[in-house]
This record gives sequence, C-alpha cells and structure tokens, in this order.
Amino acid sequence: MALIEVEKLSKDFSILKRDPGLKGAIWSLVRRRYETVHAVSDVSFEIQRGELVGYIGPNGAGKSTTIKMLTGILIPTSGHLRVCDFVPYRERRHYTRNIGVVFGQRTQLWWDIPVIESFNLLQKVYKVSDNDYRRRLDEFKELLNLDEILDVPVRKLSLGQRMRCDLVASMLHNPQVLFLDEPSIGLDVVGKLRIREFLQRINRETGVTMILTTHDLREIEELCNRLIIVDHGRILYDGGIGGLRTKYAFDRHIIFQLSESHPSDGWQNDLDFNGSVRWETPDPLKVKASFRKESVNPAAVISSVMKHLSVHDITIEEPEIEQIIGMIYSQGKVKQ
Amino acid sequence: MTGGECRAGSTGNAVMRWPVMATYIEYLRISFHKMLAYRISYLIGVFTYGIHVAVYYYLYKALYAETETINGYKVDDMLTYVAVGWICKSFYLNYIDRELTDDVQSGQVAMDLIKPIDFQAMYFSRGLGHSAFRLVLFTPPIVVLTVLLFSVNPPADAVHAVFFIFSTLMSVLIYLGINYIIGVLAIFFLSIRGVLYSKNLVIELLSGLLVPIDWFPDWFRTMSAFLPFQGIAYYPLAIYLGRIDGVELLQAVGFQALWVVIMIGVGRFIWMLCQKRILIQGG
Repeated sequence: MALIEVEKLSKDFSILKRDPGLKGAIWSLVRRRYETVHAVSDVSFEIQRGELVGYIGPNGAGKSTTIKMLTGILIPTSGHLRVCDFVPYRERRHYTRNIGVVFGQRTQLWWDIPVIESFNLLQKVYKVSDNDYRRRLDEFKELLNLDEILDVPVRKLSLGQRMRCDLVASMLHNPQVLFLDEPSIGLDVVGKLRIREFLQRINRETGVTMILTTHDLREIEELCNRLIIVDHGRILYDGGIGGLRTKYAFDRHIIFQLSESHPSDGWQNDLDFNGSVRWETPDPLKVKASFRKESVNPAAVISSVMKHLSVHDITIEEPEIEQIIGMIYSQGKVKQ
Repeated sequence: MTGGECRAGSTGNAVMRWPVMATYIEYLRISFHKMLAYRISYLIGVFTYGIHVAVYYYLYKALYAETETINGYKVDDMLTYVAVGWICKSFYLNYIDRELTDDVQSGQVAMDLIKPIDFQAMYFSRGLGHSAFRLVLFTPPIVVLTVLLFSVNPPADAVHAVFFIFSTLMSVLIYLGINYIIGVLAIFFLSIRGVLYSKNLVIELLSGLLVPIDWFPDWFRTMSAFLPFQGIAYYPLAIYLGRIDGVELLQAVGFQALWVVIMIGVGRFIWMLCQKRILIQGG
C-alpha cells in the first residue's frame, strides 16, 4: 500500500463574480453570481514511503490547493485521498501528528520571541519525549548551523535563517511525510543550497517521504527522483527526470570546432546514420550534429567525425530542464 | 503494510506521556512571553489606562458633589466600585479576538490547523497568557496608582473577599469565552474592526463597568439577567462591596459558572461551522 494515495481528486471553488464599476458593485448586493473555478481536477497519483517527489507547475496550477488537501486543511470537492492510512481532513487532529508542513510564505514560529521558545512549544504540541527532542534538536542545530540564532527573536532573522528554523520546526516530531510548499522562495543561492543539502540528508537518513513544490527547477533536478508536473489543475507528467528528457522529442547537439575548414561537400555522405543525424554548417570552421538521444550513440557520431575532419574542440548540448518544462507548460499536454 | 503499522509510525517515535494540559500550559507561557516582547507599548498602555481610570473616578466624584447617596450607593462605595472595576478589567482583558481574526484573514490560521491541537483550548490558553501577563505586570501599577490617589475601601468582609476572588476568576473565563465567540463571528463579517470596536463598548456598558446594573431601569435589569455580561464586572464588584449576601452569593457565582459553560459550548459550535467554511473555501 502506498503511503500517499490520491485518486480522481478534484477541488472547485465558487467565487463571487462582480461586474465592473459602481453599478456592478450595487447589483452584486442583490443578485449574486458565482463562478466555479476548477483549481484541481481529476488528479491521481501514488507516492511510496521514502520518495522525494517534486510537484511543479506555473502559478495558479493548483499545486498549493493539492498540498492543502493533502495536509488536511482543505476538503476536496470529490475524489479519494489517503495519507498514512488517514483521510486527512476527516481525522485532522490525529493525522497531523504524522506530517510536517513548511509553507515558504508563512512561518510557524512565533514572531516576537526567540526561536527556541517556538521549538519548546512544538515539543509539547507533538508530545515529543525529552530525549528525542534534545537529540533531534542537536542534530539539526549542527546540520543547519543554528547555534547562534536560537536565542534571537524570529523577526530579527534573515529569510534564509528563518526558513532553516521553519524546517527544523516541521521535523522535530519526526513526521512520516514532509510537505514543502515553495520552501526556497526568495532565498539566495547559498540559502537554497543549504536547504537542499538538509532535505537530501534527512530524506536519506530518516526515510521521511517528501513532497516539494518549487519554481526552482535546479532544485527539482538535484533533489527529486520523481517529478509531477501540473497545470490548470491537471497532471501533465508523472515520472523520472531522465524519462522527461527521453519522452520529449528534444535533440541533443554536438558542436565540432574545426582547426581547418571542412570540405564543401561529400563528407556527410559517410556519416548520415541512416538519416537520423541532421548536419548543419553555420560557418566553415563549425559543424553541428543534431540527433535524438535514444536513436544515435553520441560516441559513434564523435568518432566518425574525427575520422573525416580535423577537430579542434567538441561541445555537447543537452536540452535544459527549463526548456523542456517550458514546452510542456505551453503545450499543455504530454506527448505519449 | 497494514494501517495499524502505519499509524504507529515506522519511524520509531517515542510518544511521551505528557499530560494533556502540558501543551496548553505551554501556549499560555509562550503567549505571556510574547507580551513581554512589547515593553514600550506596555508602558504606554499602563499610562493611558491610568488616565482612563482617573477620568471615570473624577466623573463619579463630580456626580456626588451635591448628594451623599445615589440609587443606594454611598460615595465611598461608588468610588470603590469604579476603582476596583477598572483594576479587574486590567487583567480580565485579552486580545484573542484580534489575534484570531488576524490569523484567519492572513491565512496564518493554516499553521494552527496543521497541528494536533484543540483550536479553542489553544486560544483560551493564549488568552489566559495575556491575563497572566497583565495580572503580573499591568495590574500592580494600576493598583498602586488607584490606592495611592483615590480612596478605595477594602472588601466587605473575609467571606466576601473569598467570593470576590472566585467571582473574578469566573469573570476572566466569561470574558475569554465571549472574546473567542466574537473573534470567530467576526470572521463572517466584512468589517472586522468595526465589530471588535463596538464589542468593547457594548461589554463595558452591559457588564456594569461604567454604571452599576442596579442603576438601570427594570427592563434593562431583566434583560441583563438573561445575558452573560453582568458576570464580567457587576457581580464581582457587588460581591466586593457586600451588596450581594447570603444565598445570593452562591447564586451569583453559579450564574457566572453556568455562563462559562455556555460560552465554551457556543464557542465550540460556531468554530465548528467557521472551520468548515475555512476548510471548504480555503480561508
């Protein structure tokens, strides 16, 4: 049985619609028109214990709505939902013991008082034994370099420091699932890196299952072994990152820089690989080979070219994950 | 794997047998701690509150310039009523209504909903934290001020003193219960500030803090008998002055206790409705 089961999950919001202007405002007092927004429609997936899943999509794609339903603070309109063998919204108080949540835009730390006070409160909220609490706090303190900031009021922390403390706050009770909704939003490179390393490490060491939403695709690439892409409330892709590259008809390019100009023609005839390689010659000292990764062996291409031409330098271009995902967003569906 | 294993958690969490109260005492403590963070606003608060008390004190003094007794209250009694009334208000006051509506409006309430806690008990603890803070740091300067500057009589006798303390504890709980309900209700209204502001005026009047309940016409007193408000100020003060005696002492405190229970029940019920709305509409 999967740790997280989501089947045909949907969430509609009804939003009061007003006509523009004063007239519209007055009309809306007597005649209310509601418009239904399908924030999440028909989403299904399963997540196994210990997985680290990236949940991505453009703004307004329904990521946060899904996370809210998974954490039990939003009731689905329809569909089936089960996490750690609980129906989150129905058994919220028992369920929430098993999960940790980080909302990048919010904090669960008390703003005006030292960080450690919030941690002490959470120990009691989740009824963590003194031993466990001290052991985990010591470990996190070391991993995230918190020694000097535990006695500082939260409002005096930098965003990066606060986020590190929020991560600790969500992990003190050793949850089975950790939900991270844009945990790195607004952080600098170092801050992001620190959080990434921390997540990787606790995922490996404690086996906590993680679901992460982010707009930082580097983060997804480095952290997640699985990717779910959503837009307009629907799943566009669910699978590995490597699979994303092969699934899409994206070319890999090899660019050869030549030490002497290539012969005007004829040399390509030996190298056509049954037509699966396209050749371009942007200038006399440059040759570009484009081909699908799965149909042609790049080493074969390189060695063939070396035989015919005098090569000075080689660059291999892979499609960036950003490009691929940008294309998925704009197409709105996955090519099968 | 079976559900049972999953619930127990394969992660080896040793759940501590904390008493249930430990969590909420912790909320009380942290709320107290939070109040400490605002030292300047605390000092200003004491100052303006002192002025407030002085204004009412001299207003009543002027009222008694021509006469010895009004509606059965001698001048000494009345001035004591005003002074003790405001001393009590200095600690039964809490801000959970504002904290609650702020949290709901900003969406911060989500951070409480993801925790295994009882929402009302948490807010009550936070409110008690406010009261504890005020009792320890806000009330003493107000007591010193009023006792030094004004003539305040001691309680009628030892029995009335004991009942007064008990009755005052009840008034803290009634105020807390009302404030929680107002806070939750305000979520349904558009103009939250307006609701919270008019709440303060209504409670000051109906509780008997501004004018003793027995100065009002009959219809008002009848109405008050069916409302919780006189349990906030009028009963403790009437007990203090010895105006309530014998069996009526028990009746007054019983009235307060009953309203504490009703307020808690009503609070739970409307939060249930409100929570449902939040859970469906997403705040």
